[in-house]
Amino acid sequence: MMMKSEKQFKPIDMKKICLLFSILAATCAAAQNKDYIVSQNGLGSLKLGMSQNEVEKSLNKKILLPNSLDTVISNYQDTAKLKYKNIDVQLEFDRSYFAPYKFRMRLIGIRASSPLCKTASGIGIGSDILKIITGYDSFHVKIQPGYVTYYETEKGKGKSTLSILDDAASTMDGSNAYTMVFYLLNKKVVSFELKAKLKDERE
Amino acid sequence: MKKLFPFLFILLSATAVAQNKDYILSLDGIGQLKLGMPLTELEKLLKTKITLKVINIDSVRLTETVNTKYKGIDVEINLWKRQDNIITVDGIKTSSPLCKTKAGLGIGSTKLQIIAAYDGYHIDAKPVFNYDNDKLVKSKTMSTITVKEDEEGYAIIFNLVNNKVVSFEILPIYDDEE
Repeated sequence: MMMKSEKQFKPIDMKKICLLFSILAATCAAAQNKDYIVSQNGLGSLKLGMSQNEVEKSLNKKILLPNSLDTVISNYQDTAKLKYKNIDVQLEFDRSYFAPYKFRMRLIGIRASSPLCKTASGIGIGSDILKIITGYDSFHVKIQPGYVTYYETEKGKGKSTLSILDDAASTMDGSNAYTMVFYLLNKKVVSFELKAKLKDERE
Repeated sequence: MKKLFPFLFILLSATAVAQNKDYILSLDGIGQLKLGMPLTELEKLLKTKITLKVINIDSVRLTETVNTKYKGIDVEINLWKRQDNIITVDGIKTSSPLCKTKAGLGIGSTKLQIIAAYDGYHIDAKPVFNYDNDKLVKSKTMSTITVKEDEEGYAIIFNLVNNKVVSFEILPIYDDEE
């Protein structure tokens, strides 16, 4: 009897299982893609402006920021190199005072060069400069020779930096401002950085 | 007659080339009209006397804008009285279709053409923001593209409407002015 009933349901079961698997695979892929979506204010669930605590919870990992413990020079910023969803990222934190003499470290920069990371419109590693410019037509776009960072410019043949500034970054109106920076070699993206200039928490 | 035609052709070609050179748009000026040029030289070039209405009249103000003609085209020239009391050209603006860069960029050129033509330069392409009741509002049609050789120095600013050039400005830009 059991054999008979198994035989009767087998084709339908297989179809159902296949359908279930494809839905599951598609859901996983979509979830994975969302993890690597690059936007002006973050990468997947990693959002600029998050506190060190929130980032640690999101990554399920303790982050060591020695500069935040420094009471002599009071360095304002610190960088951590770690993994986010199996890709290498460099996170930059900044001191944010929320009360007199009380501060927390907030995420103000994310840098990565993984080919998994893409914007919603598909801009990622290998994308052409013109694709970025046309993709962000209504935004403020800055193109500079060399790789321009906070502190220095690394010059070199074929190296350039393209920044996409949101309206707050363009007008410097005092609100949270976000800039998406693409580093290019021979007009193709090789890495990117997401930067934020955040409002003072005491305001 | 046969000898006359080649001569006329050469004469016309030479005149056209000279005229084109007069309107070449570059980072330091338009043709012979250059940034930093003293007022006396400017007057010689324009073959006209410029009557100042602000500089040397109002002792506090050191800048003045004059509208004049250069080789038959309308130009707006910013003048600046330097610390050594010499008045010089500090900005030039025009919307003449005769003016073009060496690469042929001029009125009607697009944003992508400008970006492609100035590979290796500092380019700043941004929408225009205007105040509306004390609030900054982004224009849907107006934008500017600033091209500089270095972070600071002389620049061409292309003014665009619907991503096409409608006028140009040539002026010095320094960090504290950006």
